[in-house]
Amino acid sequence: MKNFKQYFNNQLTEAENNEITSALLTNYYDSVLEKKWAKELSEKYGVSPHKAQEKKVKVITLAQKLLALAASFLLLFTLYQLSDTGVQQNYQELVATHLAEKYTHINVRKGLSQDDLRTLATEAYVSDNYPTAIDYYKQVIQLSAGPKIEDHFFLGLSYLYNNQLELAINTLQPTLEMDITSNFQSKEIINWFLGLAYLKTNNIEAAKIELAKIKGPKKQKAKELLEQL
Amino acid sequence: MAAQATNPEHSNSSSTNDFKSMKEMKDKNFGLSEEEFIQMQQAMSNGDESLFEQIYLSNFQKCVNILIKFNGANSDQAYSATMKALLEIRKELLQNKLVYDNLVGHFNKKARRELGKLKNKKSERMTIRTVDGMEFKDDKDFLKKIQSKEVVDCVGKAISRLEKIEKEKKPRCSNLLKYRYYYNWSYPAIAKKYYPGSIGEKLEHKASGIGHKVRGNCLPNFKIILEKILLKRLTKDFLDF
Repeated sequence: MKNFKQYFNNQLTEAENNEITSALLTNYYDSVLEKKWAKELSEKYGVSPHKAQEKKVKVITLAQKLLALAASFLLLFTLYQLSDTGVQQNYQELVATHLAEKYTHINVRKGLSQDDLRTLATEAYVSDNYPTAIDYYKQVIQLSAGPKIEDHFFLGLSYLYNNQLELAINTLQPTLEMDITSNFQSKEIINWFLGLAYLKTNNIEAAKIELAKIKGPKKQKAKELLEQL
Repeated sequence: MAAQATNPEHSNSSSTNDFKSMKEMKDKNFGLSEEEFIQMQQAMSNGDESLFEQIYLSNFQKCVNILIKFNGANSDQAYSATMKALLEIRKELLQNKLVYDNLVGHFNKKARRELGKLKNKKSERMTIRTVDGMEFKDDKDFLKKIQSKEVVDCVGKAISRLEKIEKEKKPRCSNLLKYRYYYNWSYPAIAKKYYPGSIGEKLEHKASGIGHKVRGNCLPNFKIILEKILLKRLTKDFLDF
């Protein structure tokens, strides 16, 4: 009977060892994928476990609701005819209707500021939560008056680390034309990651062009890579 | 043949039939042509799963609705079963086990099967596919433990810690372990990814180097880190220590 002690004490065969390592990593990376898909399903497609149930309930009770509504109208009309308190009952219903619609909080109306979004993007990037980082960086860029090189660079890197290679390349390439800032002074780091992204898509010639431009701290690593190509 | 070639009505009807059957095939395969399906598979093998996700996630709700309407599932069961089916289909596509035939039907069938497992708790009879393609049916308690949220969280922490230790080293152990034990790639396939220009003996040499690194360095380090984290967070009883 296999157990953790045997696994960690290397008391299993290579096949058993591989089996358990596979299981551990599969369960973890599957759970990461599940979370990513669940988020996208909820945000992009409006799908969640509970919404499916809501739709079902609505279908089942719609006829009942219509009947109940008709009966209520009839009853109200009858009562109004019979009683001189009809006016008071009506205004209470109106109040209830108005109060049923919740007033949106002012902070939700204003939305998050660009700096808030940039902070959230940074936190997501640092925690390796690239899908979330991508969402936030896209919002930061949307709110910007003009392109800010570090926002586009980290969006490109988030795409790259999230294996969305074409998007990574299409995002990083234009940053080479953007102005540097006090936070972001060398474009060679962009050449480096663009080179890596091109290599991941097997576009050797484009990668060579980017890596050849590097003369600074990454020069040795770029040289080692170029020698392989 | 000549009559066929000169008779416009005949040639029209045969091209209409071709068009119809092509449309039918596309309808059965999420609107993809066979070429687009192959491109999707190739993109996935290069690490780009965006088209796969776009297609399957946009059809997720339909599959959920079918399970609720025709298979007596409640919403949670339908959602979970469809999600599990999607994970399995992703693996099948990465291993080139799916052909261009009826992807829609396959998705629904897979989801129904997962729903059956959920309802009948057939997951107790677990199998695991190893990196060498062998299956092991074993010890459901230990497999349940591996699948538990606590252990999965600890694995995540172990990988993060491994990445922090490695810093700028390339290729990174965390990625090598993922390619080898999650994607089930061979060492030459992994070597090809890191050294795309390498072929023949050079590739074999690189593959051998990567294999040594995984077995001699990455996996032992991962196990040491994971053991420490598990012992800190879980009881010795749970871990059979």
